[in-house]
Amino acid sequence: MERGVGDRNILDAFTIDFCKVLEKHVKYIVVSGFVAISHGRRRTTEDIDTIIEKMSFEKFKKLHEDLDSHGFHCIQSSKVEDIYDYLEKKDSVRYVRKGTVLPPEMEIKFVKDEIDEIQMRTRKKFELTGLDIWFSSIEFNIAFKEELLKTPKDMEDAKHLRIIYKGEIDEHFINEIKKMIRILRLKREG
Amino acid sequence: MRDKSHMEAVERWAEFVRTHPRSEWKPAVDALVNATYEKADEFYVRLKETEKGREILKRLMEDRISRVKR
Repeated sequence: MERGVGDRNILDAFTIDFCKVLEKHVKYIVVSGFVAISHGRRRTTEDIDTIIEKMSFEKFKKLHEDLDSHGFHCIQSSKVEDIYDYLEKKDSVRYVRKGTVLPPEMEIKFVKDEIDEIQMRTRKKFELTGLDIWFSSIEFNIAFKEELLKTPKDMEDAKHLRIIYKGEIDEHFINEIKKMIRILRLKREG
Repeated sequence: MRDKSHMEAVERWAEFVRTHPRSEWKPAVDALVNATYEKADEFYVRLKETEKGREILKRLMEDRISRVKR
């Protein structure tokens, strides 16, 4: 198994291979840490966070079988019914390369609320990353990291993205997203 | 808690990425990501070489699976 090839590091190669399969079956976005890393942030991660649109069991089964045929397996269960049950209950499911349960792993969740639906509608590809992958927008990533996640690592990711996209960031949009996060995720007044 | 100098280093690096072509910053990111995974892989291979190591590896894997299960 080739891990990192040429201009692609191990995380790039894993994500590209996985997203090629995803793309055939469902609309998706990669969010959070890998967004910052693929924009040059000098750190690594064990999991790539991905959100996919809700899909029927039949469609998910086809996706799962395609992932299986491309060398990925779910570490929580090998039964597709169980995996779909995790997703339906708003939990994440994790896929790794076959032959290991070790990272990198792809963490997948279904869209769960209006915030995710907007993230999905406003998804983007970023030339700077050199990757043919759909990401959630820079504004969404900054808002989540500054308003919800807030660990030192997340605040540094947000700062990194703010510097990279200096002069191009829609601050009004970030504030609107933060307001939605407070209401829908933190259950506070906007 | 990380000190102020850590964030300053993050800012300096981000400024470098912003002002330089991808070909100048990407190799540094790739080296760090690949080295982290390669060192971990080397460690797991070493664990497989002894009975005690295999037990540790089994525990690590069981722990990883149990953490992601409900």
